[in-house]
Amino acid sequence: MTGADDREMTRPDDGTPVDLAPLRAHSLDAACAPARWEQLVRRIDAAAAPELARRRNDALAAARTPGVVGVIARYATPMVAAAAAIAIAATALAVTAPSNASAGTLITDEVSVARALQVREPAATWLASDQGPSSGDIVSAVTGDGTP
Amino acid sequence: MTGGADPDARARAAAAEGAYDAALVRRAQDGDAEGFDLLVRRHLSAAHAVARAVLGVREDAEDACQDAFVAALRHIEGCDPPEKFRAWFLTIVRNRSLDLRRRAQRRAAEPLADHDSVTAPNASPLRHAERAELRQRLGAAIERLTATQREVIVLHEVEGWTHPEIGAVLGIDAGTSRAHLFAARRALRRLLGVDDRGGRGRET
Repeated sequence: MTGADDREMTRPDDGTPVDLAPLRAHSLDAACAPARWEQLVRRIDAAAAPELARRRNDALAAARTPGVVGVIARYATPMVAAAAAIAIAATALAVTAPSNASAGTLITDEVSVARALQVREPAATWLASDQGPSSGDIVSAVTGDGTP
Repeated sequence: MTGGADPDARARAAAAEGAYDAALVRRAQDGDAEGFDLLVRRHLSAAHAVARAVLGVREDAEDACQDAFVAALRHIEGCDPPEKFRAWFLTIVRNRSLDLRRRAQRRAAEPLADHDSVTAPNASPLRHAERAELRQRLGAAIERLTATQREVIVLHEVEGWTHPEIGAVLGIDAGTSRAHLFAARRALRRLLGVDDRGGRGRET
């Protein structure tokens, strides 16, 4: 502080200064009382150490936590890899699917459908033909015996 | 502090000081012990001056400084803008000191007492005793001033602060600080038995 200038410029009505020089010895600064000063600085640093440590930990934790871009970046590579794997698998299926169908695993003709539904043989026969059933065929299909 | 230079230079110096404080505040926010230590070393003298102006007792002023620095660190996010750390922090020091003073009023504190030997090491025992007695009388007289008068006269006469600097910490303008100083000097002269011409009436 530079109070000297100000003191010299005090207005006349500031009153006659009282000599407080004896009290100046109690001022604390590094030049006048270096040991006491240093001791107090160390005391304050020690008292503040737990709070400083807490703040350091918080700052480290915050540095480790990624933001939105970080999260996206973290999952981007696995997502691209998964998408590529799915695309390859889908392509492979598309290539192999026609050969599976021609192997006859799919039931497409009417006789096979009738057999799958466990319809009796006479009914299966007229189902397979393009002609409509006779009344005997209908009775036979409903009653389950092969005779009209 | 800055003083004596032209206003522009003073403003530039104050801005540079503020910028440095802001950098240290940010380091302290992140738990940087060295940054905090630098902040302490920059502002300890001023803090001690403010605390002593309120409390009178040096040891209490040191406690108040420690208390205020730790409190300031805990709430350092509240220092906005960080360039104004000094004013913000000295307000904390003053408030903490006022709290301590209110609490300490129950016990008999020795006002501005000399707990250490602060006279020259080669001073004679008689001189030492005279100075100790004078300090005692001054301290007792200052204790009888109003709180603001006490703060103003100690910061101005003992610590050498300017009125604008005192006003910034006490939340008053420089003119009001001068008025308090005038009243404090007049009251001290009366309490110490010093006549208006500066002589000491009670001394032989």
